[in-house]
Parts: sequence; structure tokens; C-alpha cells
Amino acid sequence: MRFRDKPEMTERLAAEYVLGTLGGGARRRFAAWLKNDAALRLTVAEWEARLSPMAAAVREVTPPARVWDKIATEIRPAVKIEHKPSLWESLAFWRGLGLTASGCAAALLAFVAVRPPQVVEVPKIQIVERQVEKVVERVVEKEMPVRVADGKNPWQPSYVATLNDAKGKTMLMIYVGRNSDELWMKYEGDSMPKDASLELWGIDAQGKPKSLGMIKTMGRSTMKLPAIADKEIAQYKTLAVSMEPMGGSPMDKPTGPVMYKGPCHTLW
Amino acid sequence: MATEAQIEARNDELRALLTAAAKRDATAQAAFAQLYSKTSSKLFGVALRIVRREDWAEEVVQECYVNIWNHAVDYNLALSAPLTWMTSIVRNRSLDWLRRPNKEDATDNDDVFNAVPSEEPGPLALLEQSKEASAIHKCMGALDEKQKKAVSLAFFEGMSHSELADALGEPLGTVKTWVRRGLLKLKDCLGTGYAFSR
Repeated sequence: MRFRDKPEMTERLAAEYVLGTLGGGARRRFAAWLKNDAALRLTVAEWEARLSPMAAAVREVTPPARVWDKIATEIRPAVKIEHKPSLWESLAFWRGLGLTASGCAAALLAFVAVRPPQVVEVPKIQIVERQVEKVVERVVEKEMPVRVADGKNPWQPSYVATLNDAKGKTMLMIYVGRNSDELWMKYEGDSMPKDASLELWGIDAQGKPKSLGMIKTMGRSTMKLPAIADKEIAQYKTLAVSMEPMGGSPMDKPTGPVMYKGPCHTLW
Repeated sequence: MATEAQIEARNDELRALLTAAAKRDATAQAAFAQLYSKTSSKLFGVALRIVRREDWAEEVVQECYVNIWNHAVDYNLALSAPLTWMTSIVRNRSLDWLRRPNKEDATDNDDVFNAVPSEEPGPLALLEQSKEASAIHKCMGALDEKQKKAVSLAFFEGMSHSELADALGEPLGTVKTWVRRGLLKLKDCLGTGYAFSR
């Protein structure tokens, strides 16, 4: 995708896609790129957030009753969800925030179903960028370990991820300096059953998972990476956490439900 | 005029309904019916404005709600306000419909909506009345007339670059420039943050 090397072009196409001025062929080509590019989807989401309030100006028109009648016959309650080990095989889910139903989504749903009810605070601002800003602010200004050496700060913001649960609540914040192999995290989720543990995964652009280790389910902690972030974290589009048996997944991929996930942002 | 607190309350309500629909339990369908009753007039209006035929708009809206039902569980990954998410689904489907190859001509049945709508009381006038859209309205006001016209015809009527050129009687390149500059100004004005009301 040549145009990805040109941020102005990307931005312009995304804006025109949302506005609706792209002609048939260009629109379809752009939609095809969109499917495989999480960063592009984020740019599009930003434009949707900017422009869609204009729809408030459109005169409301009540659709005829037959529209709902047809919808009602097509939507089905009580879909039975089976948790199968092969859920992970359906990786489309990982590739993005798009409208792709998948096994993983079903796994999230299955998990939500067995979870005790709890009060969920939905973050008022749900846009990734804003969350990242907030995290950076918290991390850098308030909670970041201070390690100044030679007037340079090795913790200069580099990779940041906020991992959300199925309801969109941020449960895990992750931060790592680009030249550091120490991943910093803050866990804000629930405590786990004694026989379960949470495993952190990096998901690359092809959707392939790699285990980054087990996370501590209490407050702030650090984790040693196999290599410095620029070599290790740089390759991951998404970070995710799955619930696994004590000690981690017996396979080289998650076997339990995906609890939290979020895009990994590069900041510099 | 809705206050910000009312807008936020409505978003919370729609979010809760989407979450309830995603559970696929005994009450999911009822929650979805409620979601439909609270949003369908708006979304049908958006679709109708773009595809310009009632039967097409019905089909678009029906498809979109089935889609929204099927993907309610993914909603949280969309990281948008619920109405933004739903409106985008409907606008995208309407635009795809309009841009599909070999489509029939909408103008045969087009007795209500003209290809170029009259300015009064145009959507921009309606924008003024909407607190929710105040940020975008303010920023649209900062565009020059040509840019404003091109951007609003595209947004509200779903016109492509070449349709805009025809409707405005200007060369394609000129119209593209108006759109591009208009969008750049909007971005500058609205910023990268999302502090404006949704």
C-alpha cells in the first residue's frame, strides 16, 4: 500500500471516504485497505467522530413498521455459545476493530456471561487517542519510575497500550520505553481465581500471537521482555490478555477466553 | 435543544441498550427493540437523504440494524459514541448502495428530494438548532462558501467528487480542491481530540 507511506494522502483519503466523495472504484479500494489496516481504521474513526455530529441536522423520518418487522424476524436471541479450544483459530477478530464476528468475540461474550454482575464505569471519552494521552500523562507525570541518567530519560514515551475489557473499560495500561526491555504495567482489573492466571500476548500484523509472559493481577508491576522494545514490541499491532491455567497457556497460543485487548501505539 | 448532560445521558442509555442486546439472552431482543425505537427515525432520515428512495432507504436501514444486532458485542471495540458508531454504519451502507455498480437511477422516484437541495431551511440552518452539533457548526461556519457547499452536499446528499462537479457546474479539479481544503480546515478547527459534544 504505497499511500501509507504518505500520511497526508492517508489522511485525505480517510476524510473523503467518511465524507462520501470517493467514487465507486476508489471507495471500494479504500474499503479493502481498511480491512487490513488498524491504523487506517483509527484515522477513519477520528473522521467519523468529527463529521458524524453533522447528521444531527438531518430531518428525522419515521420508517414504516414493516422495517422493524423484517429486522425482528432476522435477529435471534439466545445464541448458544460453546467454548471450544479452536476459538483461537478464528483470528480475524485480532486484525482489528472492524465488524467481524468471530470466535474470540464469542469467547468474550461467554466470559461476560459467567462473570458476576458488576457496576461498570464506561469511560466518557472512548477514543483511543484520548485514552493514550491520558495514560501518557499519568505514566509520565505521576506514576512513571524516575530513572534519569546522563540528563537523558530512557523512559521517554515509546510504546503505549491500553487494554480494555468487553465493556470498554480500561483494565490494563502498558508502557515501555523504546530502548528498554522492561515493560511497565498497571492492572486495574479484577483478581483472578486461584487456579487461573493472566497471560499477555503480542499479536503481530498477521494475527500471530506471541507470549510476553504472565501478568501480576495487582496494581503496578514490571515485566522483563525477551528483547528491547524496539525489537520486540515494535512488531505487535495489538496486545491482548487471556485467562489461562496457572503458569500460562500449555500451547504457544491462548487457550482461554480473551479478557482484555487493545492496539499498541507507537509514540515518538 | 439538548444540553450536554442530556446528550451524555442519551449516549449512556444507548450504550446500555447495545450492551444488553449483545448478551443475546431473554431480554436482548427487547433491548434491541428499544434501541431501534430510539434511533431509527434519525438513521432512516440519514439513509433516505443519501439514497433518495424510500424503498432503498428501508432496505439499507433494515440491513444496518441486523448488522448492528450481530455486532453489538463488538461495539466497545469501536471506541466511538453509540450514535456515532450507528450513524457511520448507516452512512457507509448508504454510500456503498449509492456507489454500487449498475444501480438504477434514483431520480425516477425522486419527487421529494432534489439532486441539489434548496438552501432554505437547509441542513446547515438545522445545525444551528442542534447543541450536539455546535462544534461542527461553528467550524463549518469558518469555511468559505464554496467549501461549505461542497462539503455539505457531499455529507448530506452523498455526492461523489464528480457528482459535485456536475451539481456545482465546476471542473472536477476545482471541486476536489474545495473539498480538500474544506476538510483540512475542519480538521484544524475540530482538532484531533474529541472534546466536542457527541
